[in-house]
Amino acid sequence: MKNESIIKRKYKLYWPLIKSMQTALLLVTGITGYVSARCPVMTWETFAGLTISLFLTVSGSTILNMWYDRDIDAKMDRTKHRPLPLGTLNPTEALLLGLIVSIMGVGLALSMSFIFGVVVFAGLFIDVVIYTIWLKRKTAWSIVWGGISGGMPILAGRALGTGEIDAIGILFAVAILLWIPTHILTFSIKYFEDYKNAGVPTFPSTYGNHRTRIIIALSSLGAALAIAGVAYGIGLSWGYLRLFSVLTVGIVGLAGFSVFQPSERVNFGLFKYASLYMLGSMIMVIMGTL
Amino acid sequence: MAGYQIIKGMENYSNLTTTLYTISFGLLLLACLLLLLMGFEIMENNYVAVIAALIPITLSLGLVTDKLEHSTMYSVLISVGFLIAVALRLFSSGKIASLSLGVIHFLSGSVIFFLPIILYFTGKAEIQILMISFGGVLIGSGGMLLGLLKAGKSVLAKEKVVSLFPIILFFTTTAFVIGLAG
Repeated sequence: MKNESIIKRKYKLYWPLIKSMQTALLLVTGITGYVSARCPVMTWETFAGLTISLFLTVSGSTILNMWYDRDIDAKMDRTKHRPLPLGTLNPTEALLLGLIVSIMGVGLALSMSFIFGVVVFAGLFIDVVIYTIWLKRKTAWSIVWGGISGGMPILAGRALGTGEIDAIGILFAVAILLWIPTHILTFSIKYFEDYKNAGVPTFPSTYGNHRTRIIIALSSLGAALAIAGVAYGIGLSWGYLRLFSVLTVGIVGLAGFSVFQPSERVNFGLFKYASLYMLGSMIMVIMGTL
Repeated sequence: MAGYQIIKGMENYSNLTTTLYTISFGLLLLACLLLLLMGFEIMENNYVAVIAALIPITLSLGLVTDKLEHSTMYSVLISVGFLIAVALRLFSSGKIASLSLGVIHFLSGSVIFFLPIILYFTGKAEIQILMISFGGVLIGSGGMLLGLLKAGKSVLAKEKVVSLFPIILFFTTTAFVIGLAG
């Protein structure tokens, strides 16, 4: 009974560290990259390995990110209730957990395929070292590196399936890279004061809301074009391309609307739609490929 | 349902009909997503009313180009009518703009309701096509509920209308999908 309560308690402390929705979305992109390769032989062992290694690595990098950012998390209303800023979890324990989970994820990935492991490690390194530790507190442009690391799971999945880094894989990663600003910048407009209080430079605080919205609109368009390139490149049927076009009209329309008729409602609607758009695009690629 | 129709349900149409149905079902899909994500306040926006009018317009145009030999006259009429409605919405007062959109809704709604009935009773289509008329009645009812609510003359409370609308949209889309499969 005592063991069970310890496990439950640890679970409650650890689970918020991995940003489950974000991790799940990145996991879906990785699976999409793999499935898009149309491997002639697709085994459950490989599929499970891909899923577990990506889950561990993405979770590990998120835990390390939370460990490093615990001081700024404590200054923001949105994040101050997380276990680390709240003090309910020891920072050393979180650091060890993040390192162990990351090493397990990268180790498993390397044991499956060298190129897959290298891309997975690159994602971890870029996210933790370049984005979080080096640039996040220095420049608003750090999100470019956040975007590159966000594109690594899909590139890794594709590389595992094809055995190489090909143009489709890179286009997939570019799509994620260009989608990230829509996701993060709408968020940083909504929580402008939070980021300001924590001293984290963001596009809204550096360039103003109007320019940020223009960047969001342009990056949404870029992401849509990149995914369209992928959808066409992997030979999705016209039915999927039609539905994809419809969803793209939605995101580009909302982004344009946020530029010309900005409001809190449109801004947060765009944030939510962007996640749905990416998830929908990934599901369409999977269904259209299978 | 709308997504399914766009992906799988348009294999035997001409390019024009496919495009028109894609716009119609696509707008239905986007309308549902935006209602879910942003709430019903989005319907108070002027542009939303204009864009929403494209749902019955493109569906009726799709039906006409698909099922009738001579579709040019209706196509020109409804397209010009829509352009006038857009211009009035942009440059004119609320009442005239609303009236013009109302006329467009009435015309396209009539085609969606009556054309399948005529096609069925003249033996030119299977019985399933009547589901399109049923869908037209449903979305027409939904539109009237919203219109009355906006005009402050609703017989139902706002919460009731808001909770009924997603159900109406679901059954409308389902009816259209079944109807077009016939």
